Amino acid sequence: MFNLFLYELRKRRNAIIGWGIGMGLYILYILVLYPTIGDAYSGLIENLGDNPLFQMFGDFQSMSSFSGFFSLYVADYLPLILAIYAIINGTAALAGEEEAGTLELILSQPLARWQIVLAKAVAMMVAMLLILLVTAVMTIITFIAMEEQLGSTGVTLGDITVLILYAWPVVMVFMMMALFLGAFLPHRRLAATGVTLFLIIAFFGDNLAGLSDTLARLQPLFPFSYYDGSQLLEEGVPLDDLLLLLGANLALLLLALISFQRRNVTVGAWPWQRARIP
Amino acid sequence: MTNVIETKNLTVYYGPHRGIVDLDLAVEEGEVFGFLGPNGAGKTTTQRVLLDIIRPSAGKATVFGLDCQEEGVQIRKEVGYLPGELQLPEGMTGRRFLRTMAAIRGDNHPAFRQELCERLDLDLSRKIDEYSRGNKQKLGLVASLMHKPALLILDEPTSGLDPLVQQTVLEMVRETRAEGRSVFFSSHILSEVQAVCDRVGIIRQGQLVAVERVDDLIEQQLRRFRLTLVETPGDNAFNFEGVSILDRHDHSVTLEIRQNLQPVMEEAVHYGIVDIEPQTVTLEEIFLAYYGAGNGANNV
Repeated sequence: MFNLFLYELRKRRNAIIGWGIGMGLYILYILVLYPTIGDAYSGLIENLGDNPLFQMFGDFQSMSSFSGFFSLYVADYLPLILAIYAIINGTAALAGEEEAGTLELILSQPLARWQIVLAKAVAMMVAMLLILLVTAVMTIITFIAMEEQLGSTGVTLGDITVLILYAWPVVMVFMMMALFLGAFLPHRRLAATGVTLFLIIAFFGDNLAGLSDTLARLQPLFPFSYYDGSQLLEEGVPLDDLLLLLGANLALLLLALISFQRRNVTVGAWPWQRARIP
Repeated sequence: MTNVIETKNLTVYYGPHRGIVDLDLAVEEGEVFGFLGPNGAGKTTTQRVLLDIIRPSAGKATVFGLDCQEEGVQIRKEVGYLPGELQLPEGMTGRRFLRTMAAIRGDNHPAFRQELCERLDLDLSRKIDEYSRGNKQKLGLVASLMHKPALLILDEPTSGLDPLVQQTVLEMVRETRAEGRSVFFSSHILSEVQAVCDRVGIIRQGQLVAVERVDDLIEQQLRRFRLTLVETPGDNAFNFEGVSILDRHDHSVTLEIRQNLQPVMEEAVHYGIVDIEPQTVTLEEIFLAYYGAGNGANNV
């Protein structure tokens, strides 16, 4: 099983480098922009800060300070962008390989199905963690290089690392959901559609929760609601939220294990179609 | 003799669609068992059930006496599998792929792996993306053979290979049998089944319609003779049930016989026998006789 894990991790080598550098460049772009547009944003927020259309895309009220500006672009958009990779990768791991035909070779090896799911899931978890580590390292280098331009930010390198790495349990929810739906639904495209819809609803739902009672009631279901950048920088890691996210990940992984255990691989059918003899 | 594969009333449905129905199959230890049938007959479904890739709707399948669902891991330790629709992961070299598969399996036969690659003339330094269809098939074959499994399950193993390599593969199958290991050889190419298999099972529309020794099948079921006679036989000569006249020339007649030879010989004696020349009947022709016209034989 460990060798399968290594194989799965090696397959993601390019993605780790590519997405890690990509996310690092995204944060570099934000930091380079800040000295230029920081003041301009303050004026904009005075006029548009409480506009619902503006709020759909994040808590822009907090952008009057550097920590608010930085945490919004990291806590709101980093997991959103990485969730796209999570959905692609999560649905590819089982459903994608099943449709491509490569899963048949793995299934013919002396491994239990739970071992296959677990090896793939752990490889995905480690890959995502490595992407965030590459992002964090690039951000720290950028931060040190731009220390003079940024001035006094009140944000330490430790804060930056924690803020970026905390995206991991949030993004993993989408990845584990994609893995589960890939093992449960007949086709990968159905699984990808399902998780993408959830991502869109969760992103806008979380940002607009303050404007609607219905959305406010649903907010605990949105993973983004457990990733408040400003709060994280001020109060540190919220352990209860972290445990909740880890619990959700574990529950989704268990569902993926159960679904794949029962799956008729290569058939592309709903789980309940197997036993039927017409 | 012990059975390495045994199925009882094995049935698989894909929703409303038939996969296999009430399949009773027994493959003996140390034999090469040919599994013949046209596309869609249920060959691949049967193999996938044996490897627990697909779960049966009813019935039971065992390999080495172990239940395919309950003890799949134990079974797969001793099984080498070449899928018919072989798909390999891209972005890695052939060497990396084989090493990965060997590591996952816990295989310790690197020298044998190398020997197989050399015999199949397989270049392992290239990326799988750059491999031709034939080279991918060779790679799949090495992956299925390299751990010297007690049971080989091969689905169309010579597909995409050139004739010389096909012969090498068939030779490898014979060697596997010579070492006392078993092979479940699925194919729709009858000549290669005839060349390497001890017994053959014919599957048709999901049901096993016949299991015979290849030799018996050829010898007993369908014969073809060219008779040279003293007198020219009449128009109604050899008009028996199960006898077809394939060719007729003055004193000679070519007959295909699916029945007892006795009435044919009695009639031949009547015209005076000069010569009896047996002709080779291929397994393909026997297979077509089993299937009959319009029963899927066109797919073969």
